Amino acid sequence: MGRYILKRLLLLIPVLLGVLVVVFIVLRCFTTDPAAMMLGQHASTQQVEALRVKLGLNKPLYVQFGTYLWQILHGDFGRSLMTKTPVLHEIGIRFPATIELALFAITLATIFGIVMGVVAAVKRNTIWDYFTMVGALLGVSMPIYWLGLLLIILFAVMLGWLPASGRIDIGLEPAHVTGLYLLDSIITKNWASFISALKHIILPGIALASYSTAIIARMTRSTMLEVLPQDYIRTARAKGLKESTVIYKHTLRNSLIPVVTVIGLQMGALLGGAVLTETVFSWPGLGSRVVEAILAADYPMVQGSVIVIAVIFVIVNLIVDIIYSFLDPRIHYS
Amino acid sequence: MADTLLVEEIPEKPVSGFVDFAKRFVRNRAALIGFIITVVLVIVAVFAPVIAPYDPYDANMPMSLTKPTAQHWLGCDELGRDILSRIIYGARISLRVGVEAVALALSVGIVLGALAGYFGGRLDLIIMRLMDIMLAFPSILLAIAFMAVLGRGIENAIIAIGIVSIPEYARIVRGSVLSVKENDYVTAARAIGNSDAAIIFRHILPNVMAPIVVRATLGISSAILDTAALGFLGLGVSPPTAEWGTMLGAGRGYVWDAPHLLTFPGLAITVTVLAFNLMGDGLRDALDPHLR
Repeated sequence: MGRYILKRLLLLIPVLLGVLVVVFIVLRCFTTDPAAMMLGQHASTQQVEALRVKLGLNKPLYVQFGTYLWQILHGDFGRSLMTKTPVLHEIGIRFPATIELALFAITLATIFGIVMGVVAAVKRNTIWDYFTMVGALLGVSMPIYWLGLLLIILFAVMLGWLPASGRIDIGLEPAHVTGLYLLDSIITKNWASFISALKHIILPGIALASYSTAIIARMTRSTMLEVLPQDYIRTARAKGLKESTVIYKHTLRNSLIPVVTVIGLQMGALLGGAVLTETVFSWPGLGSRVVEAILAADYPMVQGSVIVIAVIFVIVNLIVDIIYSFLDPRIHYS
Repeated sequence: MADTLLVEEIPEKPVSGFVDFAKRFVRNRAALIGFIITVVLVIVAVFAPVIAPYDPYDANMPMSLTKPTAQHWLGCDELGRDILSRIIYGARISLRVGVEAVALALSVGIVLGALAGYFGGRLDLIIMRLMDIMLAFPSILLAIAFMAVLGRGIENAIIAIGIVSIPEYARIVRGSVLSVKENDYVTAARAIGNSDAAIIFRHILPNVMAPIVVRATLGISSAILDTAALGFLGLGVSPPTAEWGTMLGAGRGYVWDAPHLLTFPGLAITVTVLAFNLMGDGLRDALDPHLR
């Protein structure tokens, strides 16, 4: 197991190097001149050229790539062209918001997805099954940003129950421990902050979770349907176990492996979905910042954020692979 | 009695593969609904100039943000343009990008996946590591980055969405090729002197089309979603082109005053994506029950 993890970690190196090359090539070779973008339309050619020299954009590409690689390996992602602050510092500020939203959404999606899937499988071909599966089908077909907008219209505009944007009410930010407001407010027992943070995260959380909930529900249903007719389930029933024990301990547990894979893959999808959800709800995370940075040709910021997102994406996939072996002792890695 | 049984057991005519597939597909009511909606959408897209009640680009400021009325069934947008007409014209963009992006991804993905699966070895390693690198990015993020680089426009959206979908198809094709390339008919084709290209394109690919067709149908729905997402973020087609995602993006500022600007384009995206998903699920069930 240890060897397998080590091997997978070593295999990450070429993939991550490839990620750095792709990001560099895409951003440096094909985009508009960042120096010209920064100075605006009225800048003279001399001014643009001076800034290009200052930023090192006049050097050959391989030199630029070497410098870029050297800096990144030393944890130096440069400074944002828009805010002039170090990119890593900005990522540090923005990232907890994205992680909090993604974790909240995956928790919602896992709970509701599995419950929906179990209900649909156990009550197969009843109104419950149809209702759940139609819901799941809508979940995969509805653009999450549109669902987000509908939630805003209903719960913020019409009913006025929940806020339409932001992460917490101004002035209620809890003391910094992890950067995740919900967790920090529990740790510091700041309940006013907790309620405000919870109210703010509900709508973006539901919007972001919708797609994953649907995928998890469909996967749970289909694997449950494969396990339910097995002999050992009949044996479990025959020996007089309670139906709930049969369903949750025998059927669900044996259906979980493909479901865990899907949940892991959804973590990645959530990072992508966060780009859209954060934009709709003005959620101050990395996703909305990436969009701003791309629109403003803020290369260092785009580079840094995209690399961080890709690294997390790849690591999450590795963690999912490792979790399988705990769920299914039959899986051995070599 | 025995004779009767015998007669019943022998079908009168052998059923062709396509007829069998079509029967199974049509029997699946959800798939049939998806197919009918898709046909209607294609008709709407093709005959948009005839069907649309107004010119989708005709701004009429006095009608700005009008709610649905008898004249304008779905109301008017911020520039007083008829929303129904814009949605009808928007079907052209969504369907075109969806189909063409998948066609691009398919053609590159099939070649890469077939080469990797058939030849194996170092070529396989290089191609699949490249695909892994592309899969290390959330696809919408990569598509956004490509759009930022390429600039707005329908062709660029097709290229961006097509490129980010390549790895999915390459992986499916590679897996399928690996599973059939050791079959006797492939060995036989090689033994009678067929070239590698002939073996791949004439003998292997036709036998691995089922999962590819299913994936491509479902891929159209994700391409339509991605197109709309790019439009929503302001990175899709250039205004004033009527495109559903761009309409949603433009309507975002009117969430308090005119929510109908957001309701209908979103509904159009959902129905279209739903239709392709239903059809894809139906195709999967009809073509290959093992894929469930």
